[in-house]
Amino acid sequence: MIEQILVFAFVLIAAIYVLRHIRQTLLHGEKEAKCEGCAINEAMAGKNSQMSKSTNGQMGKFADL
Amino acid sequence: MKITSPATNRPAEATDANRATNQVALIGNPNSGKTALFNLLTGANFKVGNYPGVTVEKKSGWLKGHKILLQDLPGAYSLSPKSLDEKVTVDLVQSWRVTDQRPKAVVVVLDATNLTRNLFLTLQILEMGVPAIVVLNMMDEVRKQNIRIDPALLQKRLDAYAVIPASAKTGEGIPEIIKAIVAAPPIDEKHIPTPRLKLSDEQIAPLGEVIHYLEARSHSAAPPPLVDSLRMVADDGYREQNYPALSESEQTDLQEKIEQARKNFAEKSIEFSALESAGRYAYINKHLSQTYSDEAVSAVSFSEKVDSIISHTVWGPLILLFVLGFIFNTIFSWAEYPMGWIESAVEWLAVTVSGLLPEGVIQSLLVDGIIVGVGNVVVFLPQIILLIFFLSLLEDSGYITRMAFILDRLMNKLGLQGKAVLPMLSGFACAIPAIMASRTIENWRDRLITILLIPLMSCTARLPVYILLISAFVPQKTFLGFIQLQALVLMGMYFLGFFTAVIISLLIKHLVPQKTISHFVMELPPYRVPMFRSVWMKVYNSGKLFLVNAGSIILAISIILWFLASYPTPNENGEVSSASQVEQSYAGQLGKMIEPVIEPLGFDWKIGVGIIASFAAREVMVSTLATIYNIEAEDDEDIVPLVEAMRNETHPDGRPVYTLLTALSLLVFFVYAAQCMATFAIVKRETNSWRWPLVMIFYMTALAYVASLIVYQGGLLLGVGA
Repeated sequence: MIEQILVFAFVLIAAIYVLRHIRQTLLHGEKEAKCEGCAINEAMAGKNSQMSKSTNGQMGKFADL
Repeated sequence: MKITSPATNRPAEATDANRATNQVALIGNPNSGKTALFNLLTGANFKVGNYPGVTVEKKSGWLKGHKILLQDLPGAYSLSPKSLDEKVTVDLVQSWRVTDQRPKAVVVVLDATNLTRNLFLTLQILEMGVPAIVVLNMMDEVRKQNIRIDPALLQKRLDAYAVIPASAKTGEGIPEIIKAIVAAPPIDEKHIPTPRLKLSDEQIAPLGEVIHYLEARSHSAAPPPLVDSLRMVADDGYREQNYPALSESEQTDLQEKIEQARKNFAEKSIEFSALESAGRYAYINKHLSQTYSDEAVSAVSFSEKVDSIISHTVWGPLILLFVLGFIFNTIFSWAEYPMGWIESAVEWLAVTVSGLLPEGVIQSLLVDGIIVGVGNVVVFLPQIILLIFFLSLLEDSGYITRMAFILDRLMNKLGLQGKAVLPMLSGFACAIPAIMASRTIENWRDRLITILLIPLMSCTARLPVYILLISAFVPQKTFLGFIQLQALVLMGMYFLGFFTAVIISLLIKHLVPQKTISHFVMELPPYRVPMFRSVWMKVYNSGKLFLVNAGSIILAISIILWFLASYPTPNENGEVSSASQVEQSYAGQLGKMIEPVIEPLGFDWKIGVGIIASFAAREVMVSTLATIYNIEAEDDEDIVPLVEAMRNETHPDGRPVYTLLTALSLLVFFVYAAQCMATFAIVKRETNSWRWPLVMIFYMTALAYVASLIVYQGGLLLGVGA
């Protein structure tokens, strides 16, 4: 019985982690998978990101350049 | 970015106290080595590469040992942006019109082997009135090519705060740059920079009224009125963006003067749009060209000689095929031993844990769920490392731009523009930076098409699935003594994605014709010996990312899949085999539910569960199958090798589940299927709408299904590989 409870706890934690990962990835990009070589994390996190400020909502407009 | 306070309406009384005094901008032409310098100055490890457009975002880092924030900006050829990445840099520079937005200093990085072109942007930056540290990068190559540069004379002629010879490759000049940044003098707010362009009186005269208007409102934080007026006349958007706070009547007044200037130019038959460029180059020729000479450009000649073969119309594509063939061959042959070691380690761990723990659910979770699930993904680490290693060599040596050049020729023949090629090639590593790299494409329509097609490029996450299926079901045949059939099939998967993208963009071109044609203009960098640090960092980061994913999301999904494949447990009295228990489990029920949909593709319910799970991460396909087959196995002592389990898997009627045809169908499905949430997120961000990620998911899933259906059913009809 204790074994079963322990296993269910593990599964529950894993499920919560996966759901949070999906939410995080879709809304803010890959938080856990920090790819130092990719600028994506900084951009996704919105930290010091000139690009995220300068392009949001302007993509269509900039096409005219 | 909006400039909130226009230079024209703001007196120059702002002090150092409210300026961005701890910030220093790093600016330069594309592929001048900014990020390599930035990494050395800050200790960061951002990606560098020997091709233009590696950096498309602003990145920040602390200058080593100082509280000074260094900002690495995307490369720009001038302050007239043509693409989104250049716009980031230009917007930032234009924001310096507002006194309190001005940085402590600006580091202008020049490719010293190509000074004439690099000085163009330098002159524009110097006119912003911020202390400029001009870094002559790549001095090691300058010496090899016998180019003579007189930094002291250049400093004097430029009137720059400092000119420092340096090399990001050897580390030359780094301490001097740090010292110069730290000791940068405060900005002289009363000093109005002189225009650094040479125009005749006749060329300036038509601008007279605009210049007077701006002079009355100018201060040191703006570029000289002559330069501003030239840009306003050439581009209406310039006035709107940089003088937004003028009153309506002032805007009208200024616009009238601009229109008058255009008429004046027309009367004199002067082409005003190219006047700034002409003036800059005339200035460089007259005042700066004596400070350097480039008479012996041996390395460029070397690159040109090599290019005459590598980029040759006939030899080029053949060499490209040979290079790719070599890489894929190597991925199979070199990775064999380390893969075997990891497999043995995983097996040893599983057996040890089985021996230590009593039989039960905990043991099953740890062995069949976690160790087998995660372990079967981790075994592909050597292949990932090898692929990234070779991609880094291609990038850093400069060969990847030649690949783009060769493929562009083909795309041009099909009537497509080739600027998408480089981002697409980057997509072989990961779609996310590749989608961001598409910012270098000026035209929005072309850029959107590129964004939607990049996920068709086979990224490293697909590699474990490809390798697993190919090693299990494609025969180990060798042609001509060294060409492996398995490597050819693997290369075929990469080509399949690429050429499908080409065909789709061709279809779009014919269905929705474009009014304007985009031309592919790309700088071919000289061939360079890859920097060890750069290659190592790329390999290290990719390996780390793969392991972090394996230890987090793949681990979590493996636990859930183990649960879904193990529960509900049969009644205590019910004697059922492990196989039928798994079939009745939650995972089994789910797989059976979708089986009718995927059966025409040659897939059974277990593959169906794997496909559903792999929408969270493609590698999970491998761990899912490993977990299911291990729970099914009657023998709990040893773990079941995945390849063996797949080969032995049969339908209830005794037919094998996996045939060569099934494997090919599944491979094609994975080439096309949209199964990466991080990609959906970046497409949403880059297009500012969920519409385009949804379009991408729909078209890729439909394509994956139809293509697999054609492969499997077509193969059955032809009697191939069944």
